[in-house]
Order: sequence, then C-alpha cells, then structure tokens
Amino acid sequence: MERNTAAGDEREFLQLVEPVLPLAHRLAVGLLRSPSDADDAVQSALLSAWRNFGRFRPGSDLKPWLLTIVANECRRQRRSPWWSVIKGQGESAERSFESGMTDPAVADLRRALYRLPHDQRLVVILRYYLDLTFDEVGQTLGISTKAAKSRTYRALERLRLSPEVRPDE
Amino acid sequence: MNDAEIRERLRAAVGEQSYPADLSARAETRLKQPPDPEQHPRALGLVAAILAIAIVAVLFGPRLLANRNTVASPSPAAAQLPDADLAVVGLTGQGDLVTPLQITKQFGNSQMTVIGAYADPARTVLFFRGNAGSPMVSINDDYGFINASSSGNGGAPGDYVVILDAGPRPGADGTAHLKVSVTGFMPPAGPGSGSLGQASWTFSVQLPLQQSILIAAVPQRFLLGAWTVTLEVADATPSVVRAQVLIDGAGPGDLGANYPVTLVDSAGKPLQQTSASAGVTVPKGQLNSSSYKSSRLYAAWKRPAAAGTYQLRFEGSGAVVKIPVNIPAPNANAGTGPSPTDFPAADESLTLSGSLTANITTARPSSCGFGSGPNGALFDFGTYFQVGDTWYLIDFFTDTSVKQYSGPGTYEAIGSLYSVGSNGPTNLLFKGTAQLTVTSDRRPDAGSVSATLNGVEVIGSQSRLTVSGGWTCTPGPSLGPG
Repeated sequence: MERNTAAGDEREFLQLVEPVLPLAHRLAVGLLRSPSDADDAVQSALLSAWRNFGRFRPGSDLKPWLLTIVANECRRQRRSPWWSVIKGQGESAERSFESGMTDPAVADLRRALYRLPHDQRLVVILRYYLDLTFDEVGQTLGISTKAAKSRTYRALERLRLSPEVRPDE
Repeated sequence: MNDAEIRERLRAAVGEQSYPADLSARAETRLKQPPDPEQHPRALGLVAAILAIAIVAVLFGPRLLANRNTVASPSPAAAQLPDADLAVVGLTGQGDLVTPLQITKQFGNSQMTVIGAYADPARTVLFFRGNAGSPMVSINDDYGFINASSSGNGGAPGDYVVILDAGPRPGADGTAHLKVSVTGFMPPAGPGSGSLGQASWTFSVQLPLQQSILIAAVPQRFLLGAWTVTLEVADATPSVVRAQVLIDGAGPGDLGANYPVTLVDSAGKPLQQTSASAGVTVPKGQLNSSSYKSSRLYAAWKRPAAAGTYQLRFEGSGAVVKIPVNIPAPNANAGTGPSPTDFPAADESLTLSGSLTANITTARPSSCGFGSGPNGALFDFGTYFQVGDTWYLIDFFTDTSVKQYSGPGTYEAIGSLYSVGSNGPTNLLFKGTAQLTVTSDRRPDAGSVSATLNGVEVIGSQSRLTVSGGWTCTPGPSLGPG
C-alpha cells in the first residue's frame, strides 16, 4: 500500500488494522478503566498510527506495533494534567462498579492493579487480559522475552498474585 | 497460583467491556478529518505568522494594554453558594469560608463563571457555573505549579466543583495568590459528549488560607508490626481531616491495596476518604536499599460534622495501633489550638544556622521530660521560639529504635522544625537526626543538642538547618510527653 498519500487510503489502512482493533480496544479498556476513554484513546492511536504508517516496516507484525501506539496513547492520556479531573467525573460510576463487585478481594485487586506503575500494569494487561504470549508482550514493549517475564512476575508480586513459574525457571 | 487462576482473577478485577461495533467507522471519520494545523505542512506559514504576532504581543502588549488577565477580588454581590456545592467539598454550613467571585467568560455559545474559591492547607477548591461543561484547570501559586491530584464533581445542577488535593502556599502577605488556567471543558453528558472543548482562559484569585488545627501530637513514632511508623501531620481543616505518615520498613508497593491508615468513629466505622496516595521518601534516582523500604503516605477524610473522639487506625504488618484524636465541630475551628505563649518561658542557648538563622535565648517549651509510648521509653524536648514575627516549633525526641531512654546521657534523636500558624504547628519544614544529651531529667531538665536537619519537600531538600547549644525546660501537666 502506498502510504498516507492518497485519499481513500484511510479505508485500506483501517482494513489492515481492523483485525487488531478489538484487541487494541481491550488494551485501552484495561489501562484506562473507562470504555469511553478507551474509545477516545483507540481513535487517537489510530490517527497517530495512520500519520506514522510510513515508519512501519513492511512484513513486520502489525499487532505489537499498533498495541504499542495504543499503550503510548493511554499513557499520554493518563499523564495529562486533566485526566484526573476528567476521571473525577466518573468516580461515582467507578465506585458503583466496585461496590457492584461482590467479592472484596476482587475490588482490592482492581484498586491494586490501578496503583501499579504504567509499565507494570501494561505487562499484566497484555499477558492476562489480552492473552498475549511473553514473546508478544516483549515485542509490544520493545524488550526481550525474558525481560517481559521478569517484569510480569514483579508486577504479580506487587499484586500478591504469586505465580507458580519463576522468571529464572 | 497458576496462569489460569491469575487470568481469571484479573479479568474479574478489570471487568469485561464489549467491543463497540462502530469503532472502526468512527475512526475512519476521524482519519478523514483535516489534519490539525501543526500537522499540516501548508499551515506552517500560518503558524509562523501567528507565532510572530504572539511574540510581538508578548513584547509590546504590556505597554499597550492593561493586564487583560482577569484579576479577581471578592465580589460582595455574589450570591451565597448552594448547599449542594458546599456539601461536595465538606463545607456544609461554612459558606462564609468560601470567597465569592464573579468572573465570567464567553466561549462561543457557552458561558462560564467562577462563583467562588476556597483554600486550606489540604485543598484548593474552585466553584464554576455555566453551560460549557466541566472545566479542566491547572493552578499555580507564588511558588509555581501546585502538583497534586484533582477531581471534578458536580454540585448543584449547572455547577462544577474542581478540587485539588493540596493547599496553596501562602505568599508574603499570608494569603494565597492563585493563577488559574482553564484550557478546556468536558462537555455535559449527552449527545456529542466525549470531545473536549478548547479554552484559553487565565484569571488570578487572591484567597485567605483557612487554618487547620492539630488533632494529635506530632511527630509521634510507634511500631506497627515490623514497621516503624511516624505520624508527621495530623490535623483538621474546615473541610477535611488529614494525616501524613512516614513508614519505615515498607515501600509503597508493600502497603497493599488498602492503605494502612483509616479514620474511624467511636463505633469503629470508617469515615469517607477523600484522597490517599503513597510514594517513596526520596527522589527515585536516590533510592537505595534502605530508602527503598520507606514510604510516605498521605490520606484525607471528609471532616465529620459532629465533634467527638475518633481514631486514626493503623493496620499493617500483622499489627493494629489506634491513636485517639479529638475533632471539634467544623465551625469551631478558630482559637481551639494552643498558643505558644500558653506555655511558660524558659532560658535557652540554642543557635540555628543555615536556612534559618537565630540565637534563641528565651523560648516556650511545650514538651519536656521522659515518658513511655507504644514503642518504649523516650525523652522529648520541644519548644516554641520566635524569629521576628514568626513562631516555630522545634522538637527532639530520642529514637527508641536505637536505644530506649534510661536516664541522663547522650542519645540518637529525631529532630523536626515546624512553622506555627494561628492554630498550631501545622507545616513541617525540616527534619533530621540529632544527638540529644540529657544532663538532668529532674526539674528543671537540661541538656544540649547538636543536629542537622534537612528541608522537606515544601521548601526543598537542598535546604539545611544546623542546631546546636543548650536547652532547659521544666516538666508540667500541660507539657508532653508524660
């Protein structure tokens, strides 16, 4: 595809990324908690991906490339000084969501998950919410498979979810 | 726990959201929209022209125009705020503490008015009214950007209350000088919601800073299981009760999903928490093996409407410690704290150098003598002293984790210096270690001290204060720690 030059290419670009969109949306939901924020983040990420499509190496795997852009967009949204203001409006909904959780341990885990640093929350979401392999997690984060495993287990330890397999095993 | 169990628990925690079928179509629409000017090469000339105009405006604008930023002063004509707005902030019945304002700005077909503002050491609050949506703001004071979490809450219909979980720092005149920038709006819920409205609106506000009152002796150190906990701040502002706690032995990640401090009433029922955060105690680049296992926790709760005895409840590391705190009714704030001059004067020969220079020959000791806490026996010397018109409190207590107090001698001690407002020592400025020598612990007590204290975040960690010299004090029923 000739990139980002001719009108009508948008549709072709979207056809290319469409198979990854449900996963991209799921990643944004996992990172941002809010479906509407996730919608915004995915749309912004697609815009960014479209503008930078020239940098995508033909033959590379599109999935980790797009997920990286979505993850970066989610981080950008959370870093925005206004994110907490905007989130504040959804606080009651958030609380009611948590109060709807019958298991207090689940609510505790949810709170702990969203207190993790972005990088640790990201590996947990990629691995266990998106079901990516450690290879794919590593590709998305631009780190080695071993580093992806190690980061995931560190995050799980902070969540008090001790895995059976240790990173050095 | 195996992968499947972890996956199941995390999915339950995050929740499931269906994939919006129209997302691709909406994305296509967005992709087809004209690019933003800064992304469009042909627009570069226009951007350059705008920049040139902006530079000219910055250079010559002040000469041509009076200050076009709105400088707000209290508006006597402003109506009292609705109860619903005050309730959001925990200021029910205390509307007189809110500075009424009337600053209006038009944004296309929408209009926004700032109708009031409020500040105390724990919070900065702005009340907005209009149809532009929930404002997105950043706030600076005389010292720069106030970096704290914030939230937007609806009060009365059409009103928006923006709460910043930090108080502004007072300027030289004792009031807070805020510069508020509104850069956008989240539109009201309904069709079309979700896209941000742009704004560029800056105004200034001068606010009185409402005082807080101490609700427990600070600093206060005790063991919580394997952790050593220091209660550094425990006070009540008109809107919230707050605590600042240093925890040695646990990094932020060790504190668990529920932070280890809660405020409970006499029946043990937790009060509504309004904010909480935990962080490391030194900049991340300076983390080492000991500071990594140290964290500072901030928590605030909505101030209870009823006066009474409540408890700060610490639970962690397999232990529970409860500290009773007396919280007066919110409107009984003024004049409830002890004044430095309530304590008898004593002769001192202390020298302060560094960031604060003073020779203290007379002071007002408020803590004198030895006593027992949850962590064992300690000796505490604390005194109010005055430099110019400003009162300070400096306090040294022996470190029970190093050595229990057992009579006159030289001990490792913890030193702290606070500034004192009209309602007590509420702002910790310096903290560090000291050598506290007790030569006599029988009336009158006497000894010497040598300490180097480091500035805390509010005044910068580069600041240093050296304290040396002799001290005297006479234990009395109104003095701590006994």
